Amino acid sequence: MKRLALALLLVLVACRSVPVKQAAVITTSAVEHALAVAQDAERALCFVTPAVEAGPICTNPAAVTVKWSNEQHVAFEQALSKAFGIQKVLAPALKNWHPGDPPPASLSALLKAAQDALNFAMAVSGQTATALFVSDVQKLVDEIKVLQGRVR
Amino acid sequence: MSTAQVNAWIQVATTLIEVGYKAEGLIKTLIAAVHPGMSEDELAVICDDVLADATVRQAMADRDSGAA
Repeated sequence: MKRLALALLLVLVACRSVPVKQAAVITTSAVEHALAVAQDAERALCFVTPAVEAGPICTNPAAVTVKWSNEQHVAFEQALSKAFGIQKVLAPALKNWHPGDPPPASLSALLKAAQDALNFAMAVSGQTATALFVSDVQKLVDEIKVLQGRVR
Repeated sequence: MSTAQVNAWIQVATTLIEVGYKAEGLIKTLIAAVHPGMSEDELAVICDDVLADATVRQAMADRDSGAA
């Protein structure tokens, strides 16, 4: 137990010593990866062969089985498009973020957009193997919200 | 820690999430694992990677939503 407490203490100390720009860049990158995984998971549910298929119509019978409609597919991808669009703005802003400058406003926008995208994914919770993944990504977003408090 | 190693860490973290690993505290561990003094060049490379991948991903999302 003492070892665990010591390990937790070391992690917290190390985390506090990380510059805020580094924390913001790493978390933004992690969110981008998490959303990319969510996109791949949704496309695997929607399409029989996601590597070659695209569009607003799901072809995978599994989507019907879990009641994942074409409308939900489109809404999910629209939310993802918004989130990725914000990341396209945020990444250069973070790159050019100098010490002493206020943090990019798009950081807050990214978290909101990521939350919106995950809310759509939650629609399939409890019905597919992606439910656990979505649950964990939700925790990831919560972690980032805590970190964002340090960035401000 | 090199940029490649940082990217590898992020990939590992993403994979862990994908297989159902509890993400609680994962980001803190991830950041703690990265040395606290990454250079501006290292951070710039990560930002460029995010921009490039987000561009591809947004185009994919637009195709799937019928916007493109």
